[in-house]
Amino acid sequence: MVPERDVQSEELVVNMGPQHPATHGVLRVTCKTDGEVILDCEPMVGNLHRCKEKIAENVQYWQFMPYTDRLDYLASMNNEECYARAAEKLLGIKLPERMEYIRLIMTEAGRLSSHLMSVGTYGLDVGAITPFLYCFREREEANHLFEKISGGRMLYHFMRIGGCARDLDDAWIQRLLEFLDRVESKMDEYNTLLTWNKMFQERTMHVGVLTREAALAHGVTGPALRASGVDWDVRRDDPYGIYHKFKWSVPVADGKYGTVGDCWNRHWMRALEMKESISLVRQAIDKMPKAGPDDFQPVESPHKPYLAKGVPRTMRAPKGAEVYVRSENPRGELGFYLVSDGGTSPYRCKIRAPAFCNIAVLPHITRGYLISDLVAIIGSIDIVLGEVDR
Amino acid sequence: MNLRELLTEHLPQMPEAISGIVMALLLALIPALLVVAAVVTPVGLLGVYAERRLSGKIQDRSGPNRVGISIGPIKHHLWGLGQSVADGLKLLGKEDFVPPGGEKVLFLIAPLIVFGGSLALFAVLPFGPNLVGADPNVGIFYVLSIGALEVIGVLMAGWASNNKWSLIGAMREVAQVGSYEIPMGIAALCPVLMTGSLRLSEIISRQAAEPVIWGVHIPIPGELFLGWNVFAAFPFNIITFVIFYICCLANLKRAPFDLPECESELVAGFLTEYSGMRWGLFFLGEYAAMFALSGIGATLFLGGWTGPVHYLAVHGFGAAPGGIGDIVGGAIEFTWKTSLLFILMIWVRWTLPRMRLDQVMRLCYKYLVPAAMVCMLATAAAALLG
Amino acid sequence: MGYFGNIWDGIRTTAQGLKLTTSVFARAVTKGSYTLQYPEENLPIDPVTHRGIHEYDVDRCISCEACAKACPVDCIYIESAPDAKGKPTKGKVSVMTRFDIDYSKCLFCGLCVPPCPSECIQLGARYSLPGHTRDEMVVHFHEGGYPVAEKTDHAKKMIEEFRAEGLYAKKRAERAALGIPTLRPADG
Repeated sequence: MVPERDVQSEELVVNMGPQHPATHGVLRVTCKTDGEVILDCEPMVGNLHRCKEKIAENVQYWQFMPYTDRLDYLASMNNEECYARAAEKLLGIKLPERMEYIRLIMTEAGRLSSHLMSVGTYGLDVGAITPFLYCFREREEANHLFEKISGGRMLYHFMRIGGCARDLDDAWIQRLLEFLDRVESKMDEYNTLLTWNKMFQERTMHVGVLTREAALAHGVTGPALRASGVDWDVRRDDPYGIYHKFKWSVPVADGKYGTVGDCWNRHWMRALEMKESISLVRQAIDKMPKAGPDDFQPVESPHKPYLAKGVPRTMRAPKGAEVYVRSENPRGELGFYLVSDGGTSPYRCKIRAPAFCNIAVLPHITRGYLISDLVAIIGSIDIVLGEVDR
Repeated sequence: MNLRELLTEHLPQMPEAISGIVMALLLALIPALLVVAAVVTPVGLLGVYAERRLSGKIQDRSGPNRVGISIGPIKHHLWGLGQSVADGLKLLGKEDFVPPGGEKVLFLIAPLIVFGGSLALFAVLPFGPNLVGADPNVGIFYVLSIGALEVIGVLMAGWASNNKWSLIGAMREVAQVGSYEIPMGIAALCPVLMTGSLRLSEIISRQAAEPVIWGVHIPIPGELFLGWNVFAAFPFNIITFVIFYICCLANLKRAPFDLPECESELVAGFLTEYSGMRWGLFFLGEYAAMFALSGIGATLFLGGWTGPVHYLAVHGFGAAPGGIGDIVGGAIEFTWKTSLLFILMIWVRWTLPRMRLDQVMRLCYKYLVPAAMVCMLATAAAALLG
Repeated sequence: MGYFGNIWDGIRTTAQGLKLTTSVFARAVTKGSYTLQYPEENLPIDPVTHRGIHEYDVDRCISCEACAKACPVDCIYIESAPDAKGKPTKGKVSVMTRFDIDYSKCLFCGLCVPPCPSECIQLGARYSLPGHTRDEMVVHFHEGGYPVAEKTDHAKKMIEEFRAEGLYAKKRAERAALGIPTLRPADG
């Protein structure tokens, strides 16, 4: 005789992370599941909180620059550029044209390097380990390049307020062009192993569909927004720098493959943006002007930064001045809001982190999908926890 | 019968029965231990090494290349061959951790069941002429049923771990392996239909005979490729072979079917709570089963130990049937085929992304089962023709 | 895409993937893989630009603390020997009794380098500093362990002047009198 038992089924609450291989760092997601189907999930952020905004209020404007590297540590160059521009606007510093070109080349190369990482780790999330290492191989070249010019392999600290660490020389630019050729030729490899692979498409197409309305309502930005069919890019629509001087386009999902707003399209937008970045860097290198005689301060030694004329030693912003500057980071719209009280450090610094805003949409687009899809969706949103938690 | 009957009627015969059981156990145990020591462990260790080394090269890196020998003046890196041994020794020295709140007994015996299941496959694996542990008349049936033993071990491991990830992994394993038994069984039936026997030795010898394809008799020795079952009922058994191979991948939890232990979703699935040599046993068992199932695939479809190398040994060098040349030739033949299938498993793993559970199920029931059915019907027709 | 289209797509893309991995495998086997064998082989590092562990010339340091003030994490600790009045010595006569950098705090941002008037501190090519305790992460630079290796033109000129005045030997002797050894002479 088998004793009668109460057979009941109930929802399972699984806790994914913070020590989980697929949460891209220390994200914790609590999921309520019915078997493998996710009924609800909640991203718990804050495990990597390092008080970045408070630190900004306690160090001088130029001292905060290395900290911006550590926001989105995969795209340090872009963070630095945005902060430098915010501080320059606050302090009233004008940049020479050559510096604008250097900024554009470095940020677009940074975007390329960051997207290489995103595309590769997305392969890792859906179980393809080899494309991850292929992407890392190319990213390694980018690391060599950035190390050569800035001294750091990942946390570059290349940009300075009113300038950068050092001027780009011809030998380095030649290496950069070789790197671009190399990435361009290798992108077919990633597409063969991932983008056009049937299994990858099965895993990612029609999964985690983020509708246009939901994307706008949640404040999603970057490739994730464009994958939902919203044609919005800060570089073009709120122009900064010298992007208007070049011919380039903003890739937007058109629904030719998969559903607009699914994981595959988010991945595909990154792959397309890599091509645009390559083209932008090439155009900028072609057109880059020589430095004018009065543009820059003399550089006495290779250890001194390459600064524009008129950048003060002690940086003081006028009292009550406030700026909000945004730029298109690889992960979306990065914004720095700085308020000055007349001192050498900002009175308030607020960072609008794209990954933080993008991760908020996670519960909305994972309901009803499987646990496997949750991993694919987190990977496709492409968060960096350094930026989510700041 | 009840206890009273047992005691009154059967007690007098008990000593004989017990000695018989002891003898049988000893007779079974000693060859089994020999097989473990001589075949399974080296195969497992070499398999791990091959996996790591090949994946390294596929990913444009070197893989393990340091651990060699260093005895006095003899120093060589041995291309990293010692890595698996070193890892095994490291695992032996690790803590044998049992998660609190788990089912201790089940947790401890689960790896033994998985390892034992893959070990038992080696009993019927025909390495060469007369080089086989046992040749039962239910050969393939034995393989399929013993292969399914692993599921129970994995389910035990997942349940006993007291970990939700482990449990989800174990449930996936049950669903996946249970489903893939069906197309695997159907695919394995095709060689049986051609031979008319479940016995592995007869399946092999049928493939060495002069081939008959769709009733057409081809007057060349079957050992030169065309006699192999993969060419029987051409081209249907090529598809059957592919189906069998895919099912092997799924049953072995190899990528792209590594759902029960996929590290990016379930941390490590049913292996999450395991450490030390118990984890090592799962691992060793997986690689041993990979080799064994590759060997079964080679036996069923690629002629087993008969083939060009064996043909050369017998007809080129004039080795006597049953002699040393015959056995060595057959063993080499078997090894290259099995290794090829083994390497293909590694190659596939490091190329493809992982599938999702519903897609794995869809592949099984929507694609593999109907295709295997069609192929089986075609093979039956071919078998009727000749 | 129909039933057979799916099958064909799966087979085609899988075959393409397998072909690609094989070509990489063949290239790795014949031409060697991309990675380096680390302890034997090292990546080329630019000694001028690389931001590794500091290099510091204790003799030429004037104890102005510009680097410590520039440091965003305050990981540089500077002390110099007191003069006759009991005040810390500054300028050319200063004798460094402490120049510690705490590498468990250091960001390797390089902000300490540009302010230095005598160019006696910079970030070098060294990057390995393993240790088991937090104390081991504090490097005592005043003991002269890591003198500046890659010298700029400006620094070379300053070193020549410094040497001409015979200050290297004097500083070393003064520090030795305070019980501070000089592990590697900066003018050597």
